[in-house]
Amino acid sequence: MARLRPWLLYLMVLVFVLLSGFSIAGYFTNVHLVSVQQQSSVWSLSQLQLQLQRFCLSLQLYEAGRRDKEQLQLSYDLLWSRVDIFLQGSDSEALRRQPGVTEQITQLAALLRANADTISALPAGESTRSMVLGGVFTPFQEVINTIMVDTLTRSESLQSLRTVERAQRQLAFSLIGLVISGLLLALYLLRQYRRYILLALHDPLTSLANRSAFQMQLQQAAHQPGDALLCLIDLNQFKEVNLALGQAQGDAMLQRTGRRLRTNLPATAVIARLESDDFAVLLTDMADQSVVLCQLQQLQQVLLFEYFLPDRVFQVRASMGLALSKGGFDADTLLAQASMALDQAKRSHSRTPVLFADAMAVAASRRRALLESISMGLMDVSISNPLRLVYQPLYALNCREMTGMEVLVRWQHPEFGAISPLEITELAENNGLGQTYANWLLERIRHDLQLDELPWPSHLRIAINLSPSIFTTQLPQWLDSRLTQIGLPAAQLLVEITETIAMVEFKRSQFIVNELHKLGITVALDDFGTGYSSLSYLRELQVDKLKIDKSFIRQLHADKKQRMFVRHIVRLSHYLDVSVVAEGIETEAEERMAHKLGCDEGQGYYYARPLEAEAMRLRLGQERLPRPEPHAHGS
Amino acid sequence: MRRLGLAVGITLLAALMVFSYMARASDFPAPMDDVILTVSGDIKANSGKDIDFDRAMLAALPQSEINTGTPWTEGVHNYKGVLLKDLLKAVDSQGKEIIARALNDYQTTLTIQHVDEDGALVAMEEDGQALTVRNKGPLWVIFPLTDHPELNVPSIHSAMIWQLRAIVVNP
Repeated sequence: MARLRPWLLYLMVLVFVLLSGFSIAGYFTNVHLVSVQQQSSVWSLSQLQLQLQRFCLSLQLYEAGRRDKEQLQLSYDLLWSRVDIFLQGSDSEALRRQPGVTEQITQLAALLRANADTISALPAGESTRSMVLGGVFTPFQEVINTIMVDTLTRSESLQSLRTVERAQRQLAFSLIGLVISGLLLALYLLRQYRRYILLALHDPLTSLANRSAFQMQLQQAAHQPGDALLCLIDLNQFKEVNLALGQAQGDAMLQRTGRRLRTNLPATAVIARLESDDFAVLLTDMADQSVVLCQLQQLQQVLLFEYFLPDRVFQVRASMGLALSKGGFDADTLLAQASMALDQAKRSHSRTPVLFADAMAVAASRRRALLESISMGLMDVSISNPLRLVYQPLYALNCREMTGMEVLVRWQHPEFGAISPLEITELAENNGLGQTYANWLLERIRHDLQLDELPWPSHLRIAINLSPSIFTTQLPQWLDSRLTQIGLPAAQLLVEITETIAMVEFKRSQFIVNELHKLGITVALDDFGTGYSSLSYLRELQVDKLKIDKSFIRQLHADKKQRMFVRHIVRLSHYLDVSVVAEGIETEAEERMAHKLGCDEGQGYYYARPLEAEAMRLRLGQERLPRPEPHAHGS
Repeated sequence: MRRLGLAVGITLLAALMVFSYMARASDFPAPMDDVILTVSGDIKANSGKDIDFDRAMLAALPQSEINTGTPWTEGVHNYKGVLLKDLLKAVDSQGKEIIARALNDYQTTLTIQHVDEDGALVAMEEDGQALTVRNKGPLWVIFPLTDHPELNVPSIHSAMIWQLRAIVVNP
């Protein structure tokens, strides 16, 4: 149908133009037929009438001796000629078709011919024969008069009736065709117009309103009194669905989302797909806000899509952010508020809609300020930078010798105070600064290592934490080149990754770990026990070290179950040739128990807080810690 | 030398005689028969006086033929007579408009275009027969309608005056 349309349009225009031409031509033909032909017919008849009158008059004058023979003869000949012309001429054809006309005029012609000799032989002053002749021809004056009156009063319907009728029928058909094709054109244009309007304001996939249509509605609602509720909806992990299941499944999911939105919301709600997997709902005329909130909560429960694949299950949930206005609002502000609420909902993986609160705006502005600061900070490796590195040493539990240190980031923000490493990483990751952050990290390590000429003991490993965005297949190569620049042997570097990072794409993670091993870099699995803690990953990934999270180490000596868990983890790890680090050791008791349970290394405040580069350097002097005093054993 | 002068004199005299004859020849003689056409108006021949033509005088002018049908006759007929163009040349007229009048006092106007380009003919014969008053004669202005269908229009039809009796040439 779509391919037919231009063709159809051209055809319609062609028909329209042709019929217009025909109609105009037909109109002029009709005008011509009605006026010209009738005029010439009547002309011919009136000439005949005139000539007959003249002849009759000549006859009378001749009889009275006032006309000579020649004049009479001329008058007679002219009448003769006129009668023949009337009987033969094409302009009087229509007249001749009238009933009786041809017969009567033919009779006149016959009489003229029959009296030819009489006329030429008519002696002047012979009144009897002239009167006889006058009696023969005068009645025809009345006959022609009647024909004339009939013609003029009965008009064209009798004149050239058939021709005119035919022409008029054609004209009527042309006009009807013209009107129909004109109507069709108009309808077609209207349809196209509606289609374009629809295209301009609707999302073709879901038939919901599109972004510009929604913006318009929002602007309109902004000026109206009464409450308005704006709800932004985002499908989490939608991109993964598109990648893993294909675009078609993704589209189907968006369509289903559209349908569910429509069926689960009041008819007055304005529903739109803003882009990709972002939907928006505008609710006005709310009778009861709590009911609407309840409806939205139910909606979120409904917006759950599950996909069962051979090797995994996909679950797509929706996050919802709400912003409420009490009559008359600024559209941009409301949209910004709802989007902050949505941001919060996604950040906290909330299963219920999150309503905007002023604190969110504060948090958002804080994030913006922090982002600005961190962008600046990541360009600077000097000591004066508030963004700096600290080092927390690790000790072997059996001999209490220092085995290495974990590099941690610290940020004392002039306005917001200490910013947690977690927030720093999140900030960098969420704003595309992952690689910049990693660059800064290694550059800063180089700076600290070169603080004085003394190299750091070669048996100490420096552990760095990797953010998700740089855990790619390019990582090994990048690290290799950076290490050469820094002058740090690969064997002295330890890369810590978390389960969450490693699990995103397991095959790729395996490849990366393998490549790092080839370079001589050690790999540790961080925060074990907080996430999935899958032992099969431990085996498959082939990491060198396992760092048990501090939540398992704290009060280890007091909790039997915890001890059991750690003991088995350690045993299994050793079986897989993976050494174990106990994180967050804060007391001597915890250290003793970790040692007892078989942990290889320990890290925590019990040994040392994270140290500035200078302090760390001093520590390097005393690599081995003194044995704890015997009296401490009893605690 | 004297004989040469005489020869020149005789030659000049002869030339003068020829010229004077020619000048007299452009004056039309009085018609011998019934007058069937009178030409008047802007004409130089006959010292600008009206010229009456009888049948023989018209027949003496260059004759032309047209084969054509007309709205008042059936089929194509042969018409013979004097082209209006030749007639105007014969009466030495540069006129641009011709008023034609018929025996029955019908009157029409012919333009110079009718004369020069459309080829109006003053017909005297139809199919070898002299036209009579009874048959639109003795003179009928004919246009070649069959050969030039573009002429077959009402304006030309009304210029096809029959029973032509007089022509007035306007400048």
